[in-house]
Order: sequence, then structure tokens, then C-alpha cells
Amino acid sequence: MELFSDLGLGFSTALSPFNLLYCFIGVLLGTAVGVLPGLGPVATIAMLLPLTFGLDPVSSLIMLAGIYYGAQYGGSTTAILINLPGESSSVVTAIDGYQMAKKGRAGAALATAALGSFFAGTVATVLLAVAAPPLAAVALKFGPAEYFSLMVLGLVASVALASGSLLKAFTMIVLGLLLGLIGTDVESGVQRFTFDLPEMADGLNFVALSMGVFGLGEILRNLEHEHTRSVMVKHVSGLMLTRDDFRRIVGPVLRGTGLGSILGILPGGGAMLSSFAAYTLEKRLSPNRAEFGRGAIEGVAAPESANNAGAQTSFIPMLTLGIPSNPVMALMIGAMIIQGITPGPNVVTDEPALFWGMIVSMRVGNLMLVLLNLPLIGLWVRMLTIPYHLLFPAIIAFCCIGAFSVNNSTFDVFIMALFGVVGYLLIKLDFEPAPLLLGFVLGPMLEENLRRAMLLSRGSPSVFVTHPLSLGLLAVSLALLIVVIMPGIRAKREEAFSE
Amino acid sequence: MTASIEKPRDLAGGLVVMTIGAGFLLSGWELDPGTSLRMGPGYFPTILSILMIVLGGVITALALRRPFGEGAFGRLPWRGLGLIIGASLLFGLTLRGLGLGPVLLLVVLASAWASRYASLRASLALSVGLAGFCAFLFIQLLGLPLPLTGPWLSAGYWSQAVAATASAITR
Repeated sequence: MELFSDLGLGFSTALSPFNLLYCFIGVLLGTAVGVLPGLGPVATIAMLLPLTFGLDPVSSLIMLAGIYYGAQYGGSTTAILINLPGESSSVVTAIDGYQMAKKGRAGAALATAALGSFFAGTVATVLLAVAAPPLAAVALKFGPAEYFSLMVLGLVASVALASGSLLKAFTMIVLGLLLGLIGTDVESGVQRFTFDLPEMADGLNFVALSMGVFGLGEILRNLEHEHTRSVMVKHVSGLMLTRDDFRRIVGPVLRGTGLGSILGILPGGGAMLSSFAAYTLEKRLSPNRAEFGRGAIEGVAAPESANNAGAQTSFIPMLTLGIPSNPVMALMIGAMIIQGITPGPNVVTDEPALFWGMIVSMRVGNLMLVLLNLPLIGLWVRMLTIPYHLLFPAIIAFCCIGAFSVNNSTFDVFIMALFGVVGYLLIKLDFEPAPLLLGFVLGPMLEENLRRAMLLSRGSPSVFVTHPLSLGLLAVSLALLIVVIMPGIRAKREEAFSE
Repeated sequence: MTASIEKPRDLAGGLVVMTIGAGFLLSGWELDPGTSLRMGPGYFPTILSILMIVLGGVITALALRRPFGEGAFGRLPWRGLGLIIGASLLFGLTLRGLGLGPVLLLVVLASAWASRYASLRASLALSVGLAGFCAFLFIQLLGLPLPLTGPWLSAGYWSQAVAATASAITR
């Protein structure tokens, strides 16, 4: 079995002491980030990207991945203990989790979240290992037209599945695409939108842009609603689940895992949508429906399994197609490019150590997380009490140093400051900035494939509809657009997001 | 389009989007669009700029159709905005001159002041601690090519500068 030799390679890569250490650092930081409200995985990964340049690609991606799924764990702790979601994906966990904590069952809620996440992570990782290589093999046959259509589908889906106004999400994608085109045109060598600044010739610095929008922008937003937090539960006890609890969470965990695994693969899906959908589903199906909102253990189990499953399967399009499904994956792609790896279907075959090493490290990382989270819960509770006004100056210092150190350029620090203002204004004007980052990463790729496809077809745009695969992808995008715009479904969609 | 549309905010948003689109269109005016067979550097940007203007127009139009809402903006936190953006600009401007240590002291102190819970003692302690920690982490452990203290802080730098100015004046 080829799978086993591949997994063997993965184990030997992931279990090397060095990579184990970076995996541990990643999940530790991720948990911390998840626990601290107001500091998200996007900003953290952007901040830490420059630090990983010195590492080898495998270690750095293992660590960055650890931050992402670690944050899903940590987020639930905050949601349960102080009713404030540490991450957007644990918003729904707060509903029932906090109620459980109020009834003195914080320990059980935390244990449910950890076990549910662990199970979901295991299943999703297996899915990743089984599904990714064949998908990459299909993607290798893609021509420029198929790639273009695939990216269009990705962008459309991320608009359709995002919360908030479709129109605005679409606008953010277009803005991101435009910003991505800044710099030297690859084919003609012409400078575009650089205002003759030599620092702009390579385009806007990806790290500086994301730190500005997601780091500084978020800080400015948080400072507007600054308030002190109080931790209700100082000592968490009773981590053991009763037999009855187990009986009640089996179904939700299984359904949450399934739903999350599927939604995670979709662009724009990922962890957040998965948790919302899983909670809504459980609310419809559960025999204990009446208890929802008042501390139902199912209301913790389902979304927590779903968001962890979604977080892991969202690696599938990133690793096999080179297409990010959410801002974190966009950052991972940025990290790969900086490390000299071309993202795309070649990663599986050309970088087997990276691919399989990452998969196994997720497995290992999930185990570490359970061990980290349950016994060390007291430490995280204490961390919750760090006031934000001592936290954000540190974030700013790290962002400044991080932006500078990518190219040793103070210009990038100014770019970061500029995009801090831009990000804040966007939030103020009710534009969700996440799609901007997807557009920014995909902009150059989209243009390149569009040009190549048109060149190969001798200038006839019909190439996008005569190639069956491309036609199929475009048809799905169109169908998706029509579905979201239709009034009946739009109302449902809003309902789903407003819960 | 959805219930989230509020008049003043979306009016402003739509106009901003249109302005950005127009800005890209104008500054990309000179780029060669080429033909659809052999696309030039201007082809894709032009399409996107026009799309941007159209989207901005639609957002504006939809906002105009709505009844007037109020207070959609909230108050802009000028102090926080100024201090935080100012702190990062300060970092960029003075890093090479002052060196990492002193710059971090200033940056952390300035940005800490953006919070309404800031107190002088806590901010001072925080900035000293962070500056020390970052200097150790980035210079000692990670070997960033940055001086701990910059040339502006050495007496020689200024006496040379003073001497140079003085000689320039007397000449």
C-alpha cells in the first residue's frame, strides 16, 4: 500500500524532535491565541511569518498549521468560561457552553469540547490523507482555463458562504484582486500602480498588508468597545463526563464531524460556517431541543467537533489545488511562496515530506492539544485575566518588528500602517475584510491563467465553456450565485447567520 | 441588499468604493490593454477597476433607496487611531536612527496610551519589559540585523553633525 509508505514518511518527518518541538510551539501559541479574545489566528500567523523564514519549510508550516487548529481549541475555552468567543468559530459554543458553566458544569463542557474536537480532528485528518492525493492528481491535468474557472468558483463560493452583504463581500474580492496586481507585470515587465517607487516593484508586501488589516485594524476596532472581563469560574473541576453525557454527545459529535468535514473543503467555509451549521442542525434534530440555549451538552459537542473538522479539511484545497479557502489558508500559501514552494497540485508529489509530514503532525498536534488543554486548564483561565490594554501594545510592537523583518525594509512598516487605517475604515463601513486577502493572493494567479487561456484559445473566450471541466466549474459558480441571490434562500441564509 | 444596509454608512461606503475604482482606472490609464488574444498589462486591471466602480455605484444606489438611518458611524476614536498609526509610523521613521531598544520604548508607550485604562506606571513597566524582551528575542536569539541602539544616540554622531553645520555656516 502506497498510503502506508507515505504515512511512514509522514511519521518520520513529523516525529523528528525538531518538528515535534515546532508542532508543540504551534499548538501552544494557537491555544493562547484562541484563549485571548481580540487576537485572532490570522493576525498571529501574519506576525509570526517573518520568524519562520529561518526554519525549513516543513517545520514552519507545521508550526503555522498548529496555530490555526490550536486556536479552535483555545477559542472554546474562552467561550465557555466568559461567554466571549475567543475565535469567531466558537461564537455558537458560547451559547450553551456558558450556560453549562453557570450551572457548575464548566468542566464537563470543556471536556466535551476537547474530546469532540479530538475525534473530529482525527476523522478529518484521515479524510485529508485519503482524499488529497487523488484530488491533486486530477488537478495536475488542469489547463489554464480550468484553473481560471476553479478560482472563479473559489471566489464565488467564498462570497456566497460569507456572512453579511454579498455585494460588499464581492467588492472586497475585487479590491483584493486589484491590490494583488500592484507591482511589476510578470509578462511585460511594466510597472503597475507603483507610482515609480522602487519598493513597490515587487508588489505590496503580503505580510505587511495582512498585519495592517487584521492586526492593527482589529486593535482599533477592539479599542472602541473596551471593557474589562470577568472570569466567572475560577476553578474548573469535574472534567469527567458521566455515562449519560457520553450517550448524549455521540450523535452530535458524529454529525458535527461529517458536516464540518464537508463544509471545510468549500472555499469560504472553514471553521466558522461549520460550527454555525452544526449547531443549527442539532437544534432541529436533538430530542433535547428544549434544553438548547440553556446549557445543552449537545450544543457544545456539535459545533466544537464541526469547527475542528472544518479547520482541518480546509487544508485540502490549499494543499492540493493551491487555492486558499479562507484568510488563514491564504497566509499559509504566502508562507509557502516565501519558502520557495510553488503551491498547487505538485506539492503532494514534489514535496511528499512536507505534505505527509503536515498531515501526521496534525494528528500529533491534536493529541498534544487534549493533553495541553484539560490538565492545564488552570493556566489558561489565568491567561484569560490578562487585560487587553496590556496585550495590544505588545501586538503592535510585534507587528512593527514583523513587518520590518520580512525584507528589512521600513517601507513595509509604512504599508502596514496604511493598511491598518484601511482595515479599520472597512470595518467601520461594514465591509468584512477577509475576502480581500483571498483576492489579494489569487489576483496574480487569476490574471496569469486568464491570459494563458486566452492565448491558447487564440483570443476566443469560448474556451471557458467548451472545455467540459471548466464549463462544469463555471456552471456550479453560476448556480451558487443564483441560489444565494434568490429571495427565499437569502432569507434562510440570513436566518442561519443571525442565530 | 440585506438588512445590514444603513443609509449614511453605505452611502459613504459606495462612494469610497467608486473613488478607489476610479483611482485605479486613472492611474492605470497609460497601461497597454493589449488585445483579448494577447492581453497587455492594462487589460485585467481595467476590467477590475470598472467592476469596482459599478459595484460602488450599486451600493450607493441601494443606500439611497433606504430611509435615513442615524448614528451609523458611531464616534471615531481619533486618539486611538492617531496613537496607534502614529506609533507604527514612528517605528518606521526612527528605527534605523535610534535602534530597536529605544524605538520600542517609545512605540509601546505611545500605543499603550490609546487605551482608556492606561496608567503611566503600568505603561512604563510594560514598555521597558517589552523592549527588553523583544531586543533579546529578535537581536540575540533570532539575529535580526538591527542595532540595539542607533547612531542618533551616540554623542559622536551629533558632534560630527554640529561640526559639519558649523563649518558650513562659517564658510
